[in-house]
Amino acid sequence: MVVYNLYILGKNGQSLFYREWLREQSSNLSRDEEDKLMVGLLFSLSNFAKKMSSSPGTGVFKSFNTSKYKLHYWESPTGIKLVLNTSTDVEPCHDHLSTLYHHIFIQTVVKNPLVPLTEPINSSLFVTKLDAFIKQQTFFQD
Amino acid sequence: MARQGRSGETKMEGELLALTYGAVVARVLKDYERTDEVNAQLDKMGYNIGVRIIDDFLAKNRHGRCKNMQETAEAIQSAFKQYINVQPQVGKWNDAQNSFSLTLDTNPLTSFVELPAELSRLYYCQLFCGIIRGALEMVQLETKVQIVADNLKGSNVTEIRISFVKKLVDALPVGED
Repeated sequence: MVVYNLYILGKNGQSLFYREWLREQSSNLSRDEEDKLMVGLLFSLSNFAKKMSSSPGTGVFKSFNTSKYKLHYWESPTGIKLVLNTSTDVEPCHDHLSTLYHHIFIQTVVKNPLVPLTEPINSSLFVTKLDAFIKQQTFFQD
Repeated sequence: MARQGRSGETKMEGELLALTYGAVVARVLKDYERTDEVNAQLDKMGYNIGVRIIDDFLAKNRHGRCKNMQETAEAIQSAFKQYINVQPQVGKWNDAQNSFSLTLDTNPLTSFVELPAELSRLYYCQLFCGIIRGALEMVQLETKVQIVADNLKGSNVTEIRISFVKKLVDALPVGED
């Protein structure tokens, strides 16, 4: 099982954080372009998913698979979006992403008044904790 | 003094909070001449607290999305209980059920405060309004929040009026297309 990369996107789709653990193939896009396309994909996908739902306007998509990778998605009620790409054999990790948000993002970013919530995060404490959190997950170790 | 509560969280004495907030208001009054500007500044400070505190509140309570303003009112009520340990009354709903009042019998921020006559237009607790407005804005609710009765101005209670304005929709960033 492989963890590829993680995106954190802000309320209005601005990129807050990006980290990769193993990325074999680059998308040949600039960081900025790739983030924008990711936001667009998530925006359209969640909107359409809500439209297709049995009770329209509710329901969020949690992940999608391609033959090569799996994208896990979690969004906070305040609109912060976490996106984790892994290999396809990883179990759904919706809960891990919410734990990551509640125990690491809130503690080190939201509660730190020196880290703005609309600009890319530049906090080594956050990066260290995030890295440790991902590395202790069973799907990272196997 | 800060001390560890039973839940392992850091607690703060109410008096320390009241005095600290008093010092902040006094400083803002020195920095801005007009009372209107002071109110606006306190509101802005509250707003900046609100946009962050909401995440903490949601993380601690794992609250689902509120379906109507009644649920929102209950959530705000429990937030007051949680953060400053007072239980406001929710009431005075309008006919459309989208505007209500929070009434605080005791206001921990004003324990040691007496407003001089020349500051009769100061909303001492405008910070609350900003916090509520900021927090609700982060969960896609635009609201108008104001103090309609103030225990520093002869009223028995502090009354905060919260009116729903509109539901915000997530916008895509202004991009290429």
